Amino acid sequence: METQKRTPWRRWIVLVLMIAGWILAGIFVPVRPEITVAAEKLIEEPLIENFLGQPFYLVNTLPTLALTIVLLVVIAFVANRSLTKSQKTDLVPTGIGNAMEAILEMLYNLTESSAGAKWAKAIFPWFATIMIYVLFANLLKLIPGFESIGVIHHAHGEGHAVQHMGGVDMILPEKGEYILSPFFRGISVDLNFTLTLAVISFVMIQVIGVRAQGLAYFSKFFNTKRMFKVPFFGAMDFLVGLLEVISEFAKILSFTFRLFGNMFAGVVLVAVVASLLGNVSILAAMIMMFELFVGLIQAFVFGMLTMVFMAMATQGHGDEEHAEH
Amino acid sequence: MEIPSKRDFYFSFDALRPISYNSCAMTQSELEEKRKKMVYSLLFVIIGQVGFITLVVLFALVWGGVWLDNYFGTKPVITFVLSLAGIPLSVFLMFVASRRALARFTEQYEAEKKKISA
Repeated sequence: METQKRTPWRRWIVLVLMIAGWILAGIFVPVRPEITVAAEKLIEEPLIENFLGQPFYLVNTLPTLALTIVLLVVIAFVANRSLTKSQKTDLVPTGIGNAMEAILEMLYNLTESSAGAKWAKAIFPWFATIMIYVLFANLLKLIPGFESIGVIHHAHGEGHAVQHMGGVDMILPEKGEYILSPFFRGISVDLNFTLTLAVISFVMIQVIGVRAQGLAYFSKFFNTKRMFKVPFFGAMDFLVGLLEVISEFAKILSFTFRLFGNMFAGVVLVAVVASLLGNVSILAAMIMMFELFVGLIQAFVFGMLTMVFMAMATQGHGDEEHAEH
Repeated sequence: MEIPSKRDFYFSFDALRPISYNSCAMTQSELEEKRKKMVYSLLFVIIGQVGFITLVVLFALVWGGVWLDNYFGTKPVITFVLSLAGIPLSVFLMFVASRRALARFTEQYEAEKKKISA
């Protein structure tokens, strides 16, 4: 029997580090951070004035936003290089290119099965972009350092005590007069991000609807087809159309608050559970694992709903009637 | 009696201890059972490595940043820049660690399959 050298000590290192982590979590008890709905300012002075003449602050979601975009661009560049190389050599792409090809193929097949082959090419870029972007935004906030590294300053209300340890200032669970403003906050925990994506999604649903049906798309909202032939039912159709307008605008709200609510709830849950349980911080780590799942599901739901609404916008009432005949 | 080599031991997630097996008597269902155990083991290794790599990288960079900030009197610019750099670095190392663990798993599984076909 062949004897090969392996490195069994690695597993023991992992085990020792896990035990050390457990012990350290018992010594450095998690402190409940200040929970704010809005992103916190990193610098008190505004960076610039925006086009409305309002001050534009550097808030702690902006570095994360930049980081997410840079990471996505790098991944897109590497995947593109891998795919170009595979096209030239006629071999299967490797590494990130292979993974991205598999993910995008799965998403494209999903789009094709829901929207049909004709409109899949128009809908797919929006679906895939939104889904991958939200997925990155959701998962990036699980990296250690988010919501925990930042600037310590005086609290306006209730705060915590601070201790200087190993060259670093640390917030303690005891009451005091300091709070931490983290450098990084997950972008999906900022209402501006979710609202922007919701507006993009809403506008593009209308654009694809008009591209597919022309101005007849708006007959869904202002339905006057039967108004003069059958006045009662015509009036009902018109009222239903107005309800459609309301439900169309409600999509912006539902898109915005679904993602924001789920992600914000995750942050609050981890913070509260960690601070309540104190030394038993392994449970907070389990909630972080659950957050991984929630982040994935919410990204999928946001992308999937955009895709389904776009697919629905391509199908008018007329198409169904033609299909029946 | 043949003495099993080090290669004939692998890490089981269930018992957290190495278990040995007789490669000659292995059937397809046993291989499937072992594959499942190996997947659990793989997940365990990935979670362990990824969790600590990110933590160690960020801790080192933040600590270094605080030290440099104190040294140059630029608090908190360098800490911010280094922790900003630490996040993509830890994502990259996470990717590398996962790929290595997966490659090791594939290698082990292929070896098991070869034993069955032999």
